[in-house]
Amino acid sequence: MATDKPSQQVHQQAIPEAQGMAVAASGPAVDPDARPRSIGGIGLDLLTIAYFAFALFPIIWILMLSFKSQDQLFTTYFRFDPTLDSYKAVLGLSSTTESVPFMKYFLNSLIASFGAVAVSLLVGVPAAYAFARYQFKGANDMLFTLLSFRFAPELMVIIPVYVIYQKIGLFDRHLGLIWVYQLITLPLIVWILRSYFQDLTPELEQSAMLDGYNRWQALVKVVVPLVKPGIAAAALLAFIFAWNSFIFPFILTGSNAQTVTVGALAFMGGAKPRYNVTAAAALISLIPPLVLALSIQRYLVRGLTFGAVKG
Amino acid sequence: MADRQSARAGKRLVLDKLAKRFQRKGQQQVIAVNGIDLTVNEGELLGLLGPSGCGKSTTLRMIAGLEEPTSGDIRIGERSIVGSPPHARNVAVAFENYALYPPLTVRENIAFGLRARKEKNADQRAREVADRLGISHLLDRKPGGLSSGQKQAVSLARAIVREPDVLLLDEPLSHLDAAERDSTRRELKRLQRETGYTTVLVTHDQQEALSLADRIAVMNAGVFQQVGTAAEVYDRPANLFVADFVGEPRMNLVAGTAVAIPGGMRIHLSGDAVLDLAGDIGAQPRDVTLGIRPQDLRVGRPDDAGALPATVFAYEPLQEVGRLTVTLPGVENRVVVETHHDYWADGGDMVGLKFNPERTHLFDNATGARIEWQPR
Repeated sequence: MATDKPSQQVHQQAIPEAQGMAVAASGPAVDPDARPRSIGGIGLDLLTIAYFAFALFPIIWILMLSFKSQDQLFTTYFRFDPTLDSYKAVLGLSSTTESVPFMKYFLNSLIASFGAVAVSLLVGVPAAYAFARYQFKGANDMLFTLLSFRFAPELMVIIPVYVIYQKIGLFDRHLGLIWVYQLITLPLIVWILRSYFQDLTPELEQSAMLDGYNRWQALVKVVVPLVKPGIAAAALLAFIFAWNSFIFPFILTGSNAQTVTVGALAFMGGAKPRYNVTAAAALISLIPPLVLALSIQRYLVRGLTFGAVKG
Repeated sequence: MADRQSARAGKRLVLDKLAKRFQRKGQQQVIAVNGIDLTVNEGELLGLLGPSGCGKSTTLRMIAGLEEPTSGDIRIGERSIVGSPPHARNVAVAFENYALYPPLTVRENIAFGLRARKEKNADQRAREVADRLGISHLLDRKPGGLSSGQKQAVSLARAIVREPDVLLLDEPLSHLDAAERDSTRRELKRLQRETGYTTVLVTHDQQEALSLADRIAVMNAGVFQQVGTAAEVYDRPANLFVADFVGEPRMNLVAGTAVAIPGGMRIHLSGDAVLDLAGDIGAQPRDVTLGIRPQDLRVGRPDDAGALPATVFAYEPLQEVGRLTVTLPGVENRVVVETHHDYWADGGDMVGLKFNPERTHLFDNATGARIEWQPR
């Protein structure tokens, strides 16, 4: 059979091969011939779309879930009678269901996450600057220790932290959460900003110091404005990680300081799990990171293209 | 000239036994600057010339206050500035990489120092300096879009707008292309003459130093090898380092032994070659290094009287001159000769080298120091 239609077979083989090549290299000049490259380009687009659909599907599914009524949860796919009941339940507007103080959790999440990022910035910006500019004893050890917070599992420290928090009265307190969130946010901020500071030539501060500023003023008035995009990017990342944290609030809070990640689970308890309400809660808790990301988008883009003027 | 009268002349800068040692734990102490003495007169442009790592940048940073000396003193006028913060010294630096503030316009960059000091008329003074440097048309641009030469001009403007007592230029021409380099060099010279700032120019580029500086301090290994005018440094190098470092093409250096003969001395170069000079070397034979610049050698026939026979290694016809490389019998180092541009020779040809005795240098092999062998 193969010998009957040799040309067709070659053709069939050639296309996926060219596609694969172009996708793998994804750069120019793999083949000077234009045709395989354009096919590769289309392949890349298709791949992107496929990934997009794959990545967004859970969110779309949750969006649909949140508009379904309890009765239609398991009986419908895409066609159902949309209702706002779930959102009312989450926002505490419906009196029929047992109440879960979700908005309180939401507020708790905001306090803990913003608080954690604020503390991390306050400590992390000067720390990153010091790590970037000065060679001092133990600098590398400290940097590594900070990094190790990121790759050590949270479960490893949670028991001792729980015991300590119980003893010193930080259990179920906002301050306790902000404190323990430093394990998440501080390494991110220090490591990202350190590389931003390193990219800035020290002559910029020295120039400022010759121009009439002291070292502190040079940092605050010249260097920090220049790394603003980096600060924005690092703060956003840190915020998202803090916001998404589950284990820490799950173990370290009770009813007072509980966050949305844990609080959303409350709708799953009881006689029958309310998937639709949980979905609505998840979507609502998506809003702050989303708004934050959009509002500092300008800085994020600039953060990628920014650098001191060099010769 | 009105400009000249309005500009404040710079002050005298004195370095007094200035030293800087770096000590890192577990490492050997590094002596960056080893007790240097230097006086830069009012309005003088001093070139601080040396290879990288010689301590010239450390010296500049100590004058600017970015580094504190381990010992010694720095005085501007009568005032010692050691220990005072950079902004209190009234010293300005034009950095090698310009260090312009990217988000600010050229005008804001120039006026930055004035604003930081809360001085009046910042914008107007920035404009005046920009006019003087011919960059007024750039005032509203940002540094990102400027050429290297333009950035350099802005950096200079920012340095002089404050009317510093001492102006420090760190490798000001090193990132410019050839054309920009020439024009910026002329501009720099004119500006410095016109404004009369006491200026220290740090560079590893001898062309820059020789063409711009009133005096040159050649630095190596943390100490000054020689301080003098361009002519002094070039024509009478104080030691082997200066002889080797200054001059392009480089000076030919050949080791040998000098012995006294009636009416002068005879230098036995490392091979069979022998050169007689009319001068006084002393009774004892001395190990010396003979130095002569390629321009101070003449090529003739091998049997010319007083000529040193040599074999041609290669001949490169350059644009204005020719460059002939020859080997002397038994001498390891090849000798380079600058010839007339219409000269021609092939590899293997025999030629005769004639030395210009007045421009033949001798250095003591043990100390590297110059030997004054002929009466001046």
